[in-house]
Amino acid sequence: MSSEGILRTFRNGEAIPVRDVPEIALHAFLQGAVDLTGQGWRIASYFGVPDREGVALWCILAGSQGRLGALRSWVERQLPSITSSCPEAHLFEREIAEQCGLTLEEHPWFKPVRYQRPLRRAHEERGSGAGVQPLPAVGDFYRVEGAEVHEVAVGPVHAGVIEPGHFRFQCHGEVVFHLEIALGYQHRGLEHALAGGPHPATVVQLETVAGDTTIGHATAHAMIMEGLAGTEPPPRGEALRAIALELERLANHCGDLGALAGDVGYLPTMSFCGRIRGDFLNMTAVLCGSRFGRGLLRPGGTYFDCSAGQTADLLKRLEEARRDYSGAVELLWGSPSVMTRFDGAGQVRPEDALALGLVGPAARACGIERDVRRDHPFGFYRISRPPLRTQPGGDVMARAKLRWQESQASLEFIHDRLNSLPEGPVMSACGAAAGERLAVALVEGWRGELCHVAITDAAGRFLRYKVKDPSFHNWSGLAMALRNEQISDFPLCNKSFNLSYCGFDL
Amino acid sequence: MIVYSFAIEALQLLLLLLAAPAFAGWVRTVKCRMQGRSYAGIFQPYRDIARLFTKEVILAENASWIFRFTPYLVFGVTVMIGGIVPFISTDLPFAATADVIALVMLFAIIRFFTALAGMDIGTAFGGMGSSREMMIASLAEPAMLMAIFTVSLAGNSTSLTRMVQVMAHGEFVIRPSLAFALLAYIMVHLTETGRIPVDNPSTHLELTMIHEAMILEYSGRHLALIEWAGQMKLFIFSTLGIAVFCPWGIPASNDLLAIIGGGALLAVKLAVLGVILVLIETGMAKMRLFRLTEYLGSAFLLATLGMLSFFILE
Repeated sequence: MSSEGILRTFRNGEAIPVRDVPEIALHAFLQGAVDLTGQGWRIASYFGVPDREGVALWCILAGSQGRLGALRSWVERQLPSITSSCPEAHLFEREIAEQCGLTLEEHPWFKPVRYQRPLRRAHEERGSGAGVQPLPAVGDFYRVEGAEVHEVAVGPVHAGVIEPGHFRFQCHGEVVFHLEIALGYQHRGLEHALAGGPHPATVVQLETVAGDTTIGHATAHAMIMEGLAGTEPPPRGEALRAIALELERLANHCGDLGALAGDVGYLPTMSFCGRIRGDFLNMTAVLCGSRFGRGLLRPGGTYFDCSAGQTADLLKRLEEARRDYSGAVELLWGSPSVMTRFDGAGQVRPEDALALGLVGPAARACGIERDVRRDHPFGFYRISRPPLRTQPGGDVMARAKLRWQESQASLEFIHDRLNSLPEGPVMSACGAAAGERLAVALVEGWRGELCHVAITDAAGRFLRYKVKDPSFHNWSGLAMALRNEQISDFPLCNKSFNLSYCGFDL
Repeated sequence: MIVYSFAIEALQLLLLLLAAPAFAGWVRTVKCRMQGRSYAGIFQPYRDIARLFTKEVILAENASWIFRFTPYLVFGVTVMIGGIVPFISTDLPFAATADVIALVMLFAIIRFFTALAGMDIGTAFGGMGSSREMMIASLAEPAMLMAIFTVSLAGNSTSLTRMVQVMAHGEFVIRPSLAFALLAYIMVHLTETGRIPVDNPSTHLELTMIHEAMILEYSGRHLALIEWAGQMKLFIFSTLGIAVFCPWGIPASNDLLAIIGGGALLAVKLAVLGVILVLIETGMAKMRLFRLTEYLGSAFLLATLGMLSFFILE
């Protein structure tokens, strides 16, 4: 018996009237979410919108055959948790509780996600810790008791120049029993700032959700705005967006492979890839003048065109970078000491990856075929897309190899697109956003599926703009990968996921 | 005459203090060149040490005397070891006072205090570093002794001076035992000086560090002394290897001209050794921590094979 009947289904990038998603009873809503996640659907986003005297709950599910589904319900103060039967809801539920001031009954690990203030000012009326912002990582952590178990706390200030995050290990000698990750140090109140938009600053704010995923988040936002306005970017604009997205993937995958080599102390590839990453970033700068692609994408298309001269320049740079990148990576694969180090480190079992709802390379390295470009094609990927790659194993080796395979596919894809850029304008006028709409955009960023959801009020302003970076799913994957692993392998495992702190903290 | 040989001893110590940072700088420079990076030159370690000496010392509230005392002890004992290893001349007054076994013991004293200081503050990293260091020590020290013993069998003495004299000035014999001992010594050398594949001297990842984890809490002049001592340790291990396995050119007398010639030859040998070290480091990744038992186990085995082959073949 399928529960799909209660779902309103639609396509990626589509905006549907809010009233088309009926508000159902809380029990049916939760049961529906649990049932559907067991039937091939997975949670793409799950959030609350302050509404009337309570909170409207929205659950966006991603299914097969390019279908997205939406469920809506309403709750006043507390709701039962579904995490025990649907582990992928774990962080989403904690986030809802934190943002909307709700209580989740029987949640297995109920504590703040980002230590942020609740979204709405009405919180003071509820009288629960009003106005006091909790400090990140303050509170209880999971503890393993025993005379020989010791606790190792790392961060938020690290020895290297990286983002802040707190890691709490329960160790037995060098072996890790449990890892708990506490983030929230970079919370900037992004979703709060987005409400009431679109403001002139909205695009810029979304470009900075995670600096290394500028193109990814800008693409998702542009799709939302185009969906709400009912416009379609011209083909040339779509092609340029796809090129920019793949360049971003290349730069980051290349940088990651170099950093992985650096973490095991294999210096040649580390040095080469660090430089080649810069070459890919410079190619994005050829397109728009910014190495991270700031200002390239705007609702309606791209802000910059690519002249014949730029195309030739990009093709030349691409060929050079491909040659250097291949050389650097072959050094890595050709070094037995690196291979023994990567092999079997930080293993995630496919069943765990499915249960936690991992996305992107982290999921594909467990042999799971999951790629938004194929499952929910958007933009230029509706016409053509790089082939989907997977790797068995779920260890650091699989994630490293997958990065190289995806890089090769992206190189090929960019080369083809540059050689056959559609003619015409790059930007079409994007009108005002329609009112009372729900718009959902999924984009396969280099870390995996990122999801933007916008709900507009009658005037077409954002009642709620929900951003989800792939890191939101994948941090749990990293914690699982460390189970029974040596603590000295943590930096290597961490780098093989390379998740975003600021994308999570919002 | 006694005064003169003490002057030579003083010259050797001065050379150790001054040349050790340059040697470390040379290794780093070659490493950078090998990877196509630019580097600040071989004199950068001097600038680093000078900078650290001018910096304030930050002490943890619960630091005990062990923590404050250890940098001086490490530095002092390292200089003492430098007086024992004959690298500019075999006619050193201090060299006669200690043999190879005492030398290994002196290194153990350094290690013991560094490990204690690592645990003194009570951070998780210091404790982890100390426990790893002791695990490595228990495997590396026997391998080191075994390798040196093989050479001392050839010299019929555990005195370093005697070993060098026999090797350099005795009859030249091809000794297969020494080939095994040399391999074992190189493996121990990489371990003791904290280089890839055992430890990564340039890592800043708290959880993988071994030596760096123990000295993580040090700052200012304490850190300067420890860094300087670390560079001297690299220098001493390299010159010890040269003295034992490739001593040709180390003068047996304190003739000044011979010492200058020997010094020049030593510089060339060290430069070549630096390149070899970098080649090993560049071609390899750091090992997983618990694979080190196999690595050091094979070093011990090689040294033992060297000893056996001495009895069978020589």
